Amino acid sequence: MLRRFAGRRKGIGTILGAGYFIIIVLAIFNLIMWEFTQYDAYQQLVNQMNQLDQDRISENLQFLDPALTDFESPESGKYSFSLAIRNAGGITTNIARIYFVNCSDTSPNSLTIIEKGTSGVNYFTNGFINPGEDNHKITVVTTLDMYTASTRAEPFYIHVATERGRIFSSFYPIAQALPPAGSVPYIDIGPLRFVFDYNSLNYTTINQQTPAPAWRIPNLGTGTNIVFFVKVIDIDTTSDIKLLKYCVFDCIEMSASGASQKISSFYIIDKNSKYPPSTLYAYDETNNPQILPHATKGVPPYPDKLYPQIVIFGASTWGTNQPKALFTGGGGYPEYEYLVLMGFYYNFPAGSQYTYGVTVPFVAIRINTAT
Amino acid sequence: MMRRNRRTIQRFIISRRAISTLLANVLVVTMVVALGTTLFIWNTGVMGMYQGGAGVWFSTRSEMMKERLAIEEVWFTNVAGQDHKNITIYVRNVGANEIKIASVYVNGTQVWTGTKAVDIGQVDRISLTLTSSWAPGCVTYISVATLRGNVVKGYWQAPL
Repeated sequence: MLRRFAGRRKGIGTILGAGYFIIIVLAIFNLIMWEFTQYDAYQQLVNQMNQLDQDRISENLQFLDPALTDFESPESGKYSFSLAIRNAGGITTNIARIYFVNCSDTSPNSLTIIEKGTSGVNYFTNGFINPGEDNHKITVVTTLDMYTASTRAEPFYIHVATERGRIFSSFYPIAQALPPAGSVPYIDIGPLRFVFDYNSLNYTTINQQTPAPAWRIPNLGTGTNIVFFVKVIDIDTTSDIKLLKYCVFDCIEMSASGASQKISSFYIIDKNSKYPPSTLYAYDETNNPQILPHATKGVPPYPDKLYPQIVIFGASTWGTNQPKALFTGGGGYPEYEYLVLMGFYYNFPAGSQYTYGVTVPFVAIRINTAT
Repeated sequence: MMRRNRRTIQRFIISRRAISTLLANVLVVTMVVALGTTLFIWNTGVMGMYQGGAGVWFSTRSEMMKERLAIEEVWFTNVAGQDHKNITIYVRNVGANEIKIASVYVNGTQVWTGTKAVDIGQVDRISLTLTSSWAPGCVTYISVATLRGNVVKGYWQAPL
């Protein structure tokens, strides 16, 4: 059979032609397969880059009012503050750089670039923000005194650049609407708020060891030491307030009979003080100052969260625990009325060297009156 | 045995019959080989050219596709005096390939050309000096083009 097949001469061309045909078909098939491979690789790359683009557009950072908080001056020439941000996007975002542009300056100093880092100058930390994270604080350390800039009303553009290439911007300070006018049971002076409710002004004496409302103080004998408790709130949403030892509660005697206008000054004492004279503690503004914590900005429609503090006045001299009595004159249980002014001296922000002093026209109190 | 084979060969040579069949077979085989070889060579060349072209296309498109850049900051400033002619652009490479910035256009006019390489994840700046001053508050159209042909563009406003 094989010998006969080998001996025949017919069909040689057909076999050769078929061989060539198969080779060419295989070559074309190979080309098609190569092209499929190339196209597949290209399509994978397209999908990968599309995924990157989708991730990029999923980023969404929002600046929380007032954008910058927690101002401090850790050392000379360096300032630190927090940049409050909410990640409203669907993906974790990593901050790559922050640009501060002083809008009122076109000199080469108008741009400050803050890099990611942990030391040196002009760096920030905590730039990794998870999706849904609210009030995320990026700590910025820089030579830029943004606190003073804000108080001087120097506007800045803040550009936050992410690692995926998105830029989120805000204007600082963010414009705020004034609260509506009307009758409000408080008075705001600077960042301080004094609330007028029945329990916002209390007193204690040796005979009244539990704080009681001080609007009218009954049975107060001449020479009785007294301590006043005043409710105060720091309404600033960025910075705490450190009270200084000079804070004073001045009671100006306005007796109808005498009109002597003698002033009894009660200086601030430690917040753990209770009643005179045994539980009065001197105010130590260096080692144990009283800090009024700042309010927390509420997310609309919720209002700001306020943290009322009680400030206690009762020392005759600043920085001591020497008790003090109201000026009464005479003796026994005379009837007097007083106009009260408060002098508040404080550092704002708490860690800074910026010192303020305000006079607060506060309340009018009376003692031993029938009504 | 040997004698019989010799006789057969002599008879095959002397015989005049089936010559045309033999020639025809030889001719057909020769033609098939010639045409097949030609077709194979042509096919190899064509496919090689196609493959080369397609390879370049895929490669170029892939390299271009991997480029992503972002203009992080456009800083209108006065580096030299108060002429308001300086703009500094900060460009970050956020893609998967090194980029080479080839030119920058401001309001449709090329103001910078060259080659500035920016590695993946890095940021670099390009300082531009305009021929005329930018006006405070003016809206400026800026395009940054790479060597591979990608263009990133946008509007930025000069400080008031």
